[in-house]
Amino acid sequence: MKGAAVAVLGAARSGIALAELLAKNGARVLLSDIRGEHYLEYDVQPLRDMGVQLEFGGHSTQVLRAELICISPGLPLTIPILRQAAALKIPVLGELEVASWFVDAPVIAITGSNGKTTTTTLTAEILKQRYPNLLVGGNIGTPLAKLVQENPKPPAALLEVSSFQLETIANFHPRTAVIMNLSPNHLDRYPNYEAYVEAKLNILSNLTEADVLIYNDDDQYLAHRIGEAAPRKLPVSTRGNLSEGAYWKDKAIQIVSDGKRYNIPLSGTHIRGPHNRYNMTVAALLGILNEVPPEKIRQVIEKFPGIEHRLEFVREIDGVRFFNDSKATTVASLGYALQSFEEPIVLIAGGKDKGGDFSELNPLIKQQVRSVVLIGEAAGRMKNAWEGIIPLTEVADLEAAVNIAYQQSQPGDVVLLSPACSSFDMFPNYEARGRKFKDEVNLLAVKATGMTV
Amino acid sequence: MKKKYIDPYLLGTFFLLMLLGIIMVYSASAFYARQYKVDHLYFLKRHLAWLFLGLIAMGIAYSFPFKKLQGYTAIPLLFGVALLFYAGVILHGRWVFFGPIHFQAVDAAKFTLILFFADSISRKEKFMHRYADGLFPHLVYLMLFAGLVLLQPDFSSAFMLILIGVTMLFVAPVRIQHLLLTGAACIPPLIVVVLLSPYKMQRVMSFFHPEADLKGAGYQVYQSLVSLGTGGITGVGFARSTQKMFFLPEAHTDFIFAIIGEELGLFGTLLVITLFGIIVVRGISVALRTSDKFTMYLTVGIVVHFALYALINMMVTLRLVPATGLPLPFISYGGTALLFSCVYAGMLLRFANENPPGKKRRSSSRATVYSWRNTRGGKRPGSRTTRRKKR
Repeated sequence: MKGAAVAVLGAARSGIALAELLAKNGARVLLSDIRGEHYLEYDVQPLRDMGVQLEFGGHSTQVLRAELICISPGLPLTIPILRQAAALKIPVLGELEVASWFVDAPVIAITGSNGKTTTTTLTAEILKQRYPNLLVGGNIGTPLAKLVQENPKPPAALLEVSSFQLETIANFHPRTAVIMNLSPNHLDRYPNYEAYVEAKLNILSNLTEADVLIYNDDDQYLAHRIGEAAPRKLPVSTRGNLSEGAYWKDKAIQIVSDGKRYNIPLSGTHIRGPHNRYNMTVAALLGILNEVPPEKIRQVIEKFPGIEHRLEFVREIDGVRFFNDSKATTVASLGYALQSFEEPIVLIAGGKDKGGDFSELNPLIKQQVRSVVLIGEAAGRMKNAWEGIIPLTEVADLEAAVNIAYQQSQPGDVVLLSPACSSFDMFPNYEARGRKFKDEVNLLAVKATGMTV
Repeated sequence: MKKKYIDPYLLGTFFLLMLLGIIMVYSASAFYARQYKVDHLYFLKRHLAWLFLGLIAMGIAYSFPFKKLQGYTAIPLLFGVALLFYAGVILHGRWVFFGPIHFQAVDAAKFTLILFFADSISRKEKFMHRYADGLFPHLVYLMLFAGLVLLQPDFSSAFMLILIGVTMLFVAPVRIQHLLLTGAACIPPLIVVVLLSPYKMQRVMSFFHPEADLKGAGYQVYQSLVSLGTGGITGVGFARSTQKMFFLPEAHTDFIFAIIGEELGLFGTLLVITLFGIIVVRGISVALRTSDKFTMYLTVGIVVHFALYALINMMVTLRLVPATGLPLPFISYGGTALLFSCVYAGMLLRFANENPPGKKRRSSSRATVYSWRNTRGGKRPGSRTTRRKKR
């Protein structure tokens, strides 16, 4: 790394962390962002003090003088500067790849269309019973480049990886790879579903027979696609018995590995829904593979409160329970959410259209949902898909949606924000959308009861 | 312990204040806690935990034979100084951590100072009227403590320390001229300190010209007045304050009195004032009827502590003094202050128990000393002729 000229594109959290990491390791770094300096969310002065060169307002040709270009996951490979770089044969790699060079420990990588975050967080809790210094990150929270600086010699690394990050890997070689499932997502960034799947399956590129691949056996398309991959394959299922791998049966997780059987009964968990049974099973399997005692696994899973913005219980007002599922940015996610409740649901949905097919959910909508309140760009397409099945109301913003949903609900119902879209048309990110929802619900409680507590 | 006399007024008042504290901390903090700490009970839980510790401390203080400390209070004093040194010089902050527990250094130090002053003054009563070996040493201790607190920096607490110390000294038979002169000598440096600090200047300026920056420096106190005004006579109702939702910062700490005013109205605020008034009256009653000087000075210190903190906190919310950041005892959210308030409460109850009402009133020390000097024309005690103060 010493003396190498590296250009980092994108001065968001991962870009800044990566620039910092590279500079500390002796590289000559240029951090370039298309936005002006005022638009940045994070302070770049420490980078300047370290000698990192900064440029804003566009990517200049100086970027092309680098030996290596690193990009943040948000950047598509099709932007002009990267096309030029490709023509000049300059390697373009992602933050995940480059940061992983500095990780000197076995890596567990989790990817998939849904369930990554919950599974990664739950697995982290389980693995921390064995490795208190576990490095956890990737697509979640802190970027890998930052974590590597804070925790240079972890016993193991657990990473959530997205399809975007996997597009730009080269040598990234996890010892254990997990593919949760495959379903249409990010169709606004990929030309078609096939391209998205290809990106996801990049996780397999460097795996050998010594490595382990955990995958969802119930997802036939996925099982078909991994076909002849090299690593040792451990299927996971919620449907029935398997001779090897992990499956869910009779309120317990059964794991078969290396000829040994493990049984983890679960009496009560906070997280709900059939999809979470699957998430818990994967997490338990990862625990067993890393020698965490089954009893500890059971305790951790039963105590796990779930993650914020993922079917998160907010509060109850006059018998109506409010749930924040702002992280549901795909049609599949919404599907899982709808299957997680027995009570009638008043649904708040909509946002930035990612191109999903909403009519897939029609049977579920008809069965579970009392009425829908629509917001955002995608409201029109959702209306087309669900018109006639249940009452629809289109509103201008989330505040109005919460109030109207409450009016439409009856005691015992669930009001659910599960947009099936990303948040970027109205919010900076899904967390902001979730927080706004929670704030509005709390305000609603104040208005309904008169009490300001 | 002698027969079981527990001052019912004091006990009742303390428990009422604690109860009020519990419900007001919840009401003032729940909305804020939901936004920033997810759990609406966040502050309430911590308040209750500290209160629990406080009740235990109160019990310990009640049973603790304070008289045995006489002569040895220099030891806690040293701890106090060390603690303040650690906080002010090394940590440069208000809080000191012992493992998971953090508490405010100045509260503990204040306790040791009150103990020491009570001990030292009561033993030196006979020559407190002299400057050199009576008043001056005490002033030095006081300035040392206050100075260390100023390093944290904590201007308001230092000021309170000085006030408490000076009041204890005032009750002692020092010559008023000495006190006044020393006080006057301190004012110029004080003014200089305030002038030199832009932050303090801003507070003072904001106090004198509140309209100048209602959105910035004057905001909090303005909102406090809005709260008190909104409450009117009966208040908007418990848990119905709207000011605490978006408008009044520090609603559960320094400005909780304003929320009491908003939710419980004039009834609520007068109740708080009355409760502290009862503490003062009953406390002074104990001080007047005890024959033990050590106890008397301790009681004075404690009463002054409660009275001054309550008074200044309330006056800040009423915009009668510039904002200080001092808590309302028993009611404001703040662990260390609550803990020590309970300790002081236990001590007061103990002293009330040791000196049940009905004993003859003892005349003041000041009268005693004046009478010595008048009969002998000198400073020697000789045979004491105590003179009843004329009513």
